Amino acid sequence: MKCSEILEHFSDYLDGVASSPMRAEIEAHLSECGDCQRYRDVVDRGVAILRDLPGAPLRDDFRPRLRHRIYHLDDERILDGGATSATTAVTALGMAAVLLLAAWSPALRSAPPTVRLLPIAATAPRIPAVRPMRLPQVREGFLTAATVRPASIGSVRTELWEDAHLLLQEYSPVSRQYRGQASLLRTGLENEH
Amino acid sequence: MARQSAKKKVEKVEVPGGAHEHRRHLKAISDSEVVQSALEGDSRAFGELVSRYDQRLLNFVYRTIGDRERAQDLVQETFVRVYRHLIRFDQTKKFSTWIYTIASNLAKNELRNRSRNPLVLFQTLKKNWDADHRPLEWEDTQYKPDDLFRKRHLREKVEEAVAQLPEHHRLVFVLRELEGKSYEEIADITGCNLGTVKSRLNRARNNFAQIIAPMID
Repeated sequence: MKCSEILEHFSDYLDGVASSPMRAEIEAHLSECGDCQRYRDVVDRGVAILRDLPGAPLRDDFRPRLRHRIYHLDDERILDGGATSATTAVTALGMAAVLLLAAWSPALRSAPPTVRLLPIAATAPRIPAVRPMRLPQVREGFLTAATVRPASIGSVRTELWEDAHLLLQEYSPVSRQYRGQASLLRTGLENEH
Repeated sequence: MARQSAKKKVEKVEVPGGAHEHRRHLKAISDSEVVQSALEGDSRAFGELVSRYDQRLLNFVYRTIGDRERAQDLVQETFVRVYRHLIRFDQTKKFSTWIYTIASNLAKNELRNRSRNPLVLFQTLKKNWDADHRPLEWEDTQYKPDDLFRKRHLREKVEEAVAQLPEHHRLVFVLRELEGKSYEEIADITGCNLGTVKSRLNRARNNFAQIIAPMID
């Protein structure tokens, strides 16, 4: 057996847990090897000195202090016991509140119903074409009826009256009801033109 | 009112034969029987557990953390925890293993907290630096101190050697060499498996021997 193996199994040997063959081998090696003998002696002596060292003395107030702490521990335990019943009651109340909230939650969560109304589409009424007014005959050099373009006159007149239906709609009771839609409708018409 | 009535519940159980006789009886019985008495409401039984373990735990914690004053506080805390959780103690296990486990965990927490505290860390580093850079007195052949001084110095060196061991090696070493715990008990106390306990103990012994070898003839 090598010295390194002795070091590896030294604790088993020292504590008496090494197997018999191992023990015999270690003892055989120790009887021959001075270094390993020295190692065993150092450990033995060192541990003997350590065991011989005076222990740390207990402070005089060690036990009175401990007694005092344990006495107050009993008090804490009693107070904790008292607090436990109060805590239980508070917990029960809290649980009841949570259950109540859970029961009412659908009612609390539901918002007012939203209804989507279809937009009202309306077309502008057809306005009958206005016949161009016949102007009296004038002398040459002046503008004649033929020279006045009927389209321009017509356009002037239509411009004058083109919002009439809208004015009617604006002040009718039906339009008041659908005022929002009416404004949308107007906007839409303007876009078309 | 409620407090007074509840307090009656923790009052000591009256045992026939007088206080002196009762104490003698408690001293004679095993740990598990004392624990059982304490659980049945015998307040003197807890006192018996304290008197059985206070000094042993103090030595163990002191050797583990290296601070006498703090060790007293940690042992107090150990007993407070034992008192508080005695009802949860599994009576099929050894009481000594349980109480040492509590003390060991407190000691480990203390060492962990110290390593996080820069001031304590600095003090530890300084102490180690001082130890490393102190002149080797035993190599000076001109000066031979007397036997008494030499013995005292050797004791100090052995104490220092234990303190120099890495924390997890030191714990196993102290439990085995000073408390005489078996490998199985050490495994239970430290929460390691048997293989780890053996390996740590072997390394701790090697380190210890290397540190003290120059001082031992």
